[in-house]
Amino acid sequence: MIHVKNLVKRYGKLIALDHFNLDVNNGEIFGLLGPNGSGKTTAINCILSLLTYDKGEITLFGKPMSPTNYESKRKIGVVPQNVAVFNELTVLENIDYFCSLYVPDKSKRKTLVEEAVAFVGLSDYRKFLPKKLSGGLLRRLNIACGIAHKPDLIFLDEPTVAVDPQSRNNILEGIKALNASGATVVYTSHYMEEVEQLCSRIMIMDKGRAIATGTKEELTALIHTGEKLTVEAAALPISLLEQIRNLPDVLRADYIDGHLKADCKGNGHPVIDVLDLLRQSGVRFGQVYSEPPTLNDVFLEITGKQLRD
Amino acid sequence: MLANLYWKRILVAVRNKDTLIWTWIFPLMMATLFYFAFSGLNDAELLKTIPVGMVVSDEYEKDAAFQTTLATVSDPEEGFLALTEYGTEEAAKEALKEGKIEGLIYLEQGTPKLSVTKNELNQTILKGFLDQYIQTKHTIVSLLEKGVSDASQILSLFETASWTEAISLSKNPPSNTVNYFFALLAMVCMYGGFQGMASVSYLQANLSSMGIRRTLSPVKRFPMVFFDLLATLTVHMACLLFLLAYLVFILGVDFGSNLFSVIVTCLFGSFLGLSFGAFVTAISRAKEGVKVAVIITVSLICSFGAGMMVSGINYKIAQILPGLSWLNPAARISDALYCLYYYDGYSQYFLNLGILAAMTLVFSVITAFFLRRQRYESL
Amino acid sequence: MKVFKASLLILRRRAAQVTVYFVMFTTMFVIIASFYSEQMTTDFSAVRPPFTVINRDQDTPLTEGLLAFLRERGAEQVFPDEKKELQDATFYHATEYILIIPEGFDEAIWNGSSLPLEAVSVPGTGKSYYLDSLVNQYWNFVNVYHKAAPSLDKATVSEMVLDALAMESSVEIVRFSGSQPVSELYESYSRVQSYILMVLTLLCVSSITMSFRRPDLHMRNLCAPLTTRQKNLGLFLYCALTGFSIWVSTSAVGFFVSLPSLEGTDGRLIALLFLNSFLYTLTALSIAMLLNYFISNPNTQNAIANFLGLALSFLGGAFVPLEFLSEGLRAASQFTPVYWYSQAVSDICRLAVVNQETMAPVWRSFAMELAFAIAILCLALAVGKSKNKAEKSFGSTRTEIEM
Repeated sequence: MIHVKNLVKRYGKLIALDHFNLDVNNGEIFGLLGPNGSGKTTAINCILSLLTYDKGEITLFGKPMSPTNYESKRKIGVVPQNVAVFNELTVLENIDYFCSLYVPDKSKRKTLVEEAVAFVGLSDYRKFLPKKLSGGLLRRLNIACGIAHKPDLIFLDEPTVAVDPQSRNNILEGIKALNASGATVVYTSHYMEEVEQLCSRIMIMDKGRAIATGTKEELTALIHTGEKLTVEAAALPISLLEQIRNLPDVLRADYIDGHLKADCKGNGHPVIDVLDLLRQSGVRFGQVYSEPPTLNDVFLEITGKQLRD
Repeated sequence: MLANLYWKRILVAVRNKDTLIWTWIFPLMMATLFYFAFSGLNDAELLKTIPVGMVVSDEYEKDAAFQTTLATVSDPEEGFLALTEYGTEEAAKEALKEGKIEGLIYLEQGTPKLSVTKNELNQTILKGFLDQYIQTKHTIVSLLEKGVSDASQILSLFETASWTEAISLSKNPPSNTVNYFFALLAMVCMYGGFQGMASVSYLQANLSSMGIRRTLSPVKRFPMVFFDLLATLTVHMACLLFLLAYLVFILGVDFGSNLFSVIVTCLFGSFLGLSFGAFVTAISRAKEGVKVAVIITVSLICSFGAGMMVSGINYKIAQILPGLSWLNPAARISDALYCLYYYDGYSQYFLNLGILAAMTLVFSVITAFFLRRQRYESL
Repeated sequence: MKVFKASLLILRRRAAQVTVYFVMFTTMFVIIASFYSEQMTTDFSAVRPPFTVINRDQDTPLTEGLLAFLRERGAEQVFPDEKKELQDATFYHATEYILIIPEGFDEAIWNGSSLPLEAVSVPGTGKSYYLDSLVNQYWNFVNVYHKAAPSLDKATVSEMVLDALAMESSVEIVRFSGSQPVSELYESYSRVQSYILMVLTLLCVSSITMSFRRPDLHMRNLCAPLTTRQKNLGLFLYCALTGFSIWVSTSAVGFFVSLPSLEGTDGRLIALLFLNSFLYTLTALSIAMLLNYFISNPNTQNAIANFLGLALSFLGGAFVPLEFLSEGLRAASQFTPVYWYSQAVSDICRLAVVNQETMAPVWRSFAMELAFAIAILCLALAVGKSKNKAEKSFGSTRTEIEM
């Protein structure tokens, strides 16, 4: 559906996209994950032909994308990063306006607009002006304006920035529903939890480059860290910590604030071994929990820095 | 679809409070202000009865000729003097000091003299009157000396009616106030720039996020711009017509008989204003506040040049720097209205409209050049 | 002090706007000043209204004589015999009176038949009346001399008429005041000054209060360990400083532009005018304090500042002399501070002798201005109290209703 090859975009000396490649398949929810300034929005704007680029080729729906490719534009829905609505128009009027750019037929549009309003849960706010809406509701309106015409391909550029948890869930559920009804979704975010929860395939970006692409499982399999074990343990002797560190499946282990934290190797499951050691040494322990590796770990291991900062 | 774009754009324009203040309310307040401030301006120049004092002396009581002349010009119906007689010189001087009379006449050896406190027109008129009296008296005396025997014959010679006949060169009388309202309309036309600015920034992806949405829609650029501007033009014309109706029907400002052409002028002015705003917005990515400031400042300076604060400044500029005057769109708009009010022919009126159209074209072409672009170096 | 510093910083960000107004104003004043080029003299000098003579007849001694006579008493403006030129000149008062001598007039008057001259003017004005009477006087005399001695030729008649018309009555100008009053230029400046004082004060003060009254910022300030008194002190200092600078700079512009015309003027009068504009600055400051509660964005700010500035200066006679205002409006203007400002300007500029008695009306005007300043300030404080008390002061930001 989207095919991007060797895209290069420079802002003066700064290289915003460095030989960027992307393939999005029909029916996917594709996530672009990366810290702020990693080039996610630039990539989308280039794909949409809003920005000029220095090198590379972009095809959408099998055709090269250009500003005058109205055929393709008709099938695309865009939710820009900033809220893009007329402050002077009500919720309903705004959605109707942007929908009318795609759907000339009035009666058809009417049903579409109503559906969109219901879809984002703004039914009670139809006649509200945007300035009367809270941040989360405004974001939902922003989304409704982009998707009312039932596009085949939807770009959502950080739609959940500065949004309260309820609205965020509403938005994420909505995106899943859109995808279920057949739309392909490209989703950018710097919240890895969202991307993990939502996307069928994920690309991690940093400094204008795609550093890894795949499903969540594929991505986590890329790195050495496996599951992460935390055990609440009182008075852990240093010697015991050394013993744990020497276990074959343990990559790292630390004792911080009464908690033993152990990172495990890729496929190893050392929980029993660790607990055995503790029991043998007579160390009392409470809660035990184990987490699978996150995308943050992936990012951390590949770039050597945290995703969020 | 396009009808929807048109109507929604009208809604946007009508609901925008900022433009509401600048293009609807502010001009209305200014019009009302002008109306009250200049209500007495036309009358101020008219000759009113001049209060004048005369010291009664023996000499005055004996001089029948002077008394008759004074009586004629201070006739309550036809004369231009309001004569007060004072018994003593002190009383008369006191009245002069207090400004109750504008001049004090007294006789000295048969010759009238004048005391005044100011060098103004009324004093000049008084002096002119006394000059005339002296000159006529002198002429009669010298003619008598030269042997014309019959004094009544000479007097009859002086009894000629006026030599001049007042004619008017224009269909409406000159007015001191109407030009202020012309310039005001011109200013509002220029304020169409706000609408042009909004239209362009809503359209360009590098100027607003709304522009991103609209650039990405499958509607072609030209119809989108066209209907957008058509909608703003509708709103702006409505605003001008509203102001015009207020001026004509409520304040009773006289725009001449051809109101239709006045409206056509407003239409051309609106085109100019819109394209000016579009031009300012399209050519740079400066902040919105800066662009608003540019539009307001340019509009105000142009309106000043069209005579909005000081009437007649437009005429002076046209005399000293004709080129500048021709390039000032506000001056062209108010001049077109002036042509309608004052001239019989339409040639200069059409010339003005032509210049406005040409300026609009230049602004539009440059704007179009920038609007054609849909891809940007950066957003 | 923090508030004060922040205020100055905000003002610096908006300096461009203030500068634009200041420059516009100064230019405007220089233009107005150019209208007042005449100097006061002690000899009477008659007003010389502008006139135009269009001679469609030939130049003869008689028409030459007329021109010579009119040039003595008026200022000739030459325009080509084109309708549009003459129309424009009449409309814009480039000439007050256009006399058109029709073809054959000279012969007609010599033969005793009548052929009227055409006169174009704004009907009924004093200037056109005066010029018309001069024209009539000339041709009357020509007629009389010609009829009295038909044998004389045109040149001689014209000469005799001009001799007769050269006689003038003597006019003496009486000065009741000892010293020279304040020049008209400076007086007119003082009136216009009220406009710029008002606009600049409103802009500078409301720019700051607008920022401080933004709901979120206001909330933050309320939460900060800053007493209301400290905050108000900061704002007060800021107002005092800006008001003072505006007063000093506008006064300085006026003083230096009209300096040449102020030679020999009693320094005490100028000091009184300074004091007057200072009192008006105080009034403007208190008006700004009051209005800031109603100004929420830069657009209303500019519109209100301009409108109020213009309206008040019209009422104060800054642009158009007060006599031209309608009776009712003049009566109403007494309830505005600018009336008393302008009254004080008039009184001071006509102050011949400075003593207890003559100063009384000036002191009264000053007191009125001060009273206005205090009254408006009290009103502003009252409004501020009621506005600050409730949540109202935060305005309605957004509904936080969620599903």
